[in-house]
Amino acid sequence: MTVDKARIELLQGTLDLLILSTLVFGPSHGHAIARQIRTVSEEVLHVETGSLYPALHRLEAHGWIASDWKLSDKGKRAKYYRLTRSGRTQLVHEQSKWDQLTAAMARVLRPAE
Amino acid sequence: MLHRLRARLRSLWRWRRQESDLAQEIQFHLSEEADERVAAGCSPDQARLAARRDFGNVASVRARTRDVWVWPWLQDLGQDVRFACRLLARDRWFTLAAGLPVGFAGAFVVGKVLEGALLRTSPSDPATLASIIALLLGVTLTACVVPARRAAHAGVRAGYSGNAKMNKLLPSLGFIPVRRLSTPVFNERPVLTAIYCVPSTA
Repeated sequence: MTVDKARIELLQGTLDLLILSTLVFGPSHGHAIARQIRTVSEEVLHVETGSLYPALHRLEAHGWIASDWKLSDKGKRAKYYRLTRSGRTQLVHEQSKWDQLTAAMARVLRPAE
Repeated sequence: MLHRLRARLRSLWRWRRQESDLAQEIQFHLSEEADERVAAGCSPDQARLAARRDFGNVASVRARTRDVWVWPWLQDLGQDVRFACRLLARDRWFTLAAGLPVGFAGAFVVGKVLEGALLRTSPSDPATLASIIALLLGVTLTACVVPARRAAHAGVRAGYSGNAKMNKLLPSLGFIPVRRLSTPVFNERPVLTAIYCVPSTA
C-alpha cells in the first residue's frame, strides 16, 4: 500500500458532509462518490470503503439520501444515491456548523493577527 | 394482527434484500475499481487483485454497514413487544387461563430437570411453589394497582370507549372527551376511541 505524505485522515463526522455535498451535483454510486472526493480534494482526502458504505447506509436510514438501482454508463447494475429534500436541509445545517468550526479553529490557532 | 404479521415478514424480507443489495454494491465497487486499473494499463488479473487489496476486508465492511440497520430493526422489535403486551393485557383472562396450565407443566418439567442440581430441597416442594406463585401474583397486582392509584390521586376519573354509539351518548351526558384517538388502544382494528373524563363537581 502506498502512503501519500499529503494524505490527511478524515475528521470524525466530516464524511457525512462530504458525501452530501458531492451528491449536490446529481445521483452517484459509492465508488464514484469516493473518486469524486479524492479528485476534487486533489488526492488529499481518501475515503476508506470501511467508512464509506456504513456512512451511505446511515445517511439513507436518516432519510437524507435515497437510492435506486440503475444501469451505469458501462451497462452494469449500480446503486445510485441521490440527495433528498431533507438531505439538502441537513447539508446546509452541517455546512454552517463546519464553517463555525473552521472559523473558531483559525481564531485559536492564529490569535490576534 | 395479520397486518402486523405481514409487516414483520416484510421487515425480515427487507433485511435479506438489504444483505444481497450490499453484496452487489460491493461487487460493483470492486469491478469499477478493477476497470479503472485496466484502463491505466494493468492486466485484468492484476487489476482485480489490486482492487481487492485496496478495498480492504469485505467481511468487515459488510459487518460495519450491517450495524447501521440494526437500530431501526430493534425499534421495530420493541414495537412488536409493546403490541404483544397490549394484546395480553386486553385478553388477560384468556392469558391467565392459557398461562396457568402451561406454567404448571413448564414448572414441573423444569423442576424434574433441576432436581439433580438442587441440594436439600425438592423443586416441587409445595412451599417453594406457593411462594413463587405469591411473588408473581404480587408483581402482577402491583403492576395493575400502581397506575390505577396514580390516576386516582391525580383526581381524574377516566374511562375509554371504543364504541361508536357510546361515543355519541357520553358527551351528551356531560362526560368530557379528553383525547380522541383514531389509533387503536386495545383493539387491532382502528375504531374511533376516546378517553373520557368525569367532570369534577368541585
